[in-house]
Amino acid sequence: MSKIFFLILFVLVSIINFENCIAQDDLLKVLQSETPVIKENVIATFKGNKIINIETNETVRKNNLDFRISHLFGSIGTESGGGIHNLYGIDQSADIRLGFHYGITDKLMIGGSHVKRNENFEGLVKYRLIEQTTDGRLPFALTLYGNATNSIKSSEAFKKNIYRLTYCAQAIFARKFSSKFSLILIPGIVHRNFVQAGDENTTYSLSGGFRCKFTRSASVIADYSHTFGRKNVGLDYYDVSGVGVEIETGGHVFTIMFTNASGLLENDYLVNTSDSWAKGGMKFSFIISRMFKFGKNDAVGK
Amino acid sequence: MQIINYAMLKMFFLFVLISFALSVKAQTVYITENGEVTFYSHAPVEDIKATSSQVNSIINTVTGEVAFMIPMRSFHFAKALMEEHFNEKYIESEKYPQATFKGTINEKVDFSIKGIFPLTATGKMNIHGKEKEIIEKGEIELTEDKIILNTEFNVAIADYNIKPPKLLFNNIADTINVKMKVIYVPYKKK
Repeated sequence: MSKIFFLILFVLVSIINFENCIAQDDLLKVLQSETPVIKENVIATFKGNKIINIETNETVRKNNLDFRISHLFGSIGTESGGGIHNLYGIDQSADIRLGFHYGITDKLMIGGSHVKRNENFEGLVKYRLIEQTTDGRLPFALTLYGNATNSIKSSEAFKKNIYRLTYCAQAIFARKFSSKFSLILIPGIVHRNFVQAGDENTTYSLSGGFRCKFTRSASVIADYSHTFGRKNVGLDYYDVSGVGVEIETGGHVFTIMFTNASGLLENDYLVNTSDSWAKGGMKFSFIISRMFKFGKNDAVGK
Repeated sequence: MQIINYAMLKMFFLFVLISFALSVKAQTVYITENGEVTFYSHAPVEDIKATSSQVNSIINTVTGEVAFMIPMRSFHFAKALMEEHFNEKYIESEKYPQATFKGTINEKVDFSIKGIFPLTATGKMNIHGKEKEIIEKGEIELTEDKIILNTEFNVAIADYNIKPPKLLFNNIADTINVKMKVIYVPYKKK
């Protein structure tokens, strides 16, 4: 009888002490189980605001100012006005954009730019509505983009300033599948206040693109845009596509890209691209981006 | 027979009480209440500083065992772009989400005495998926119900297979200075 008592005693004392005997456990495992899983937003789905032609879900973060110089050279092929005599388009500039993008918050970005083609001025706003999370609860990102452009280039048909206003609105869906592969899909709408006879004021578009990292620092990028609902307007307009290689160095990203886009603005290239790859209408393009930081370094110690 | 049973029962309850008393008094494990770590990189091009306030640590005052775990994404930088490069290019936080240390305090510290004591710890540090045996110095402050740990050490990025960019300037120092402060409270199992 007494043996049984001592056995029960021993078992009970062991159970009571067991609770406090995590010394036998792996401390790191205890730590892991005690630490709540922190939901983080996926970062760097794409590098910068654009893939080649199309927008990305990325915005400039709070208090950062991105000064971007985008340059689109002339067409490479002789048939489209290129060839050896202007060094395959290098001597020409189809379009140039000087843009300032500023992050008001980590989600909201505003910007303004001037582009060479049609002497356009642009105002834009971009907002991260949904951000993809690392825990997979939100599997994709959704960024809303909108802009308005005003050309100051007056002509007989486009005499009034209001005629030369255009608008673009897009819903940018993006997903970073892994650190190596990101995909994007953008339904959009372009509205032009005044168009040529027979053309549509409102045009719908669908764009897609990806970034695929093949070494630690180099990625292949490509995008494609198609527009819907336009009747034959007498001129040949083409879908816009671009392909490029992105090379990251410490603080800079160099991109070598080729595209058949005729201009740099969505409002322009989606509806006005008259160059095709088949006719040598592809152009070399590059972007120089310089990021400035304003305000206090409030990110540290947050 | 009856008498023996009573005696047994008495003894039994006594043991139960003693073991309860022991388990309450002998708090052996302490866990982070608050932990902050800052690292500095001094390079000719730029100085980089990042802070994380999510240091998780646990300490066993009987065995002297200690463990640390820091989520890499919890480090915040002055420039958003720096933070992106840190996560994307250097630390690869998607692949290696945390830095860990597991080791033992070398000195025999009596945790019941209040005061400040210098100590060293030996163990395995794991950063960027690479493990390295290290010995680091620190200082421990023992108060009524808390343990405060202060430590400062250097990390050579090459030891953890972190490669600075080959092209253009190298704006990351070869050795990163790390400062850490952790406040521990008695651990209660959830």
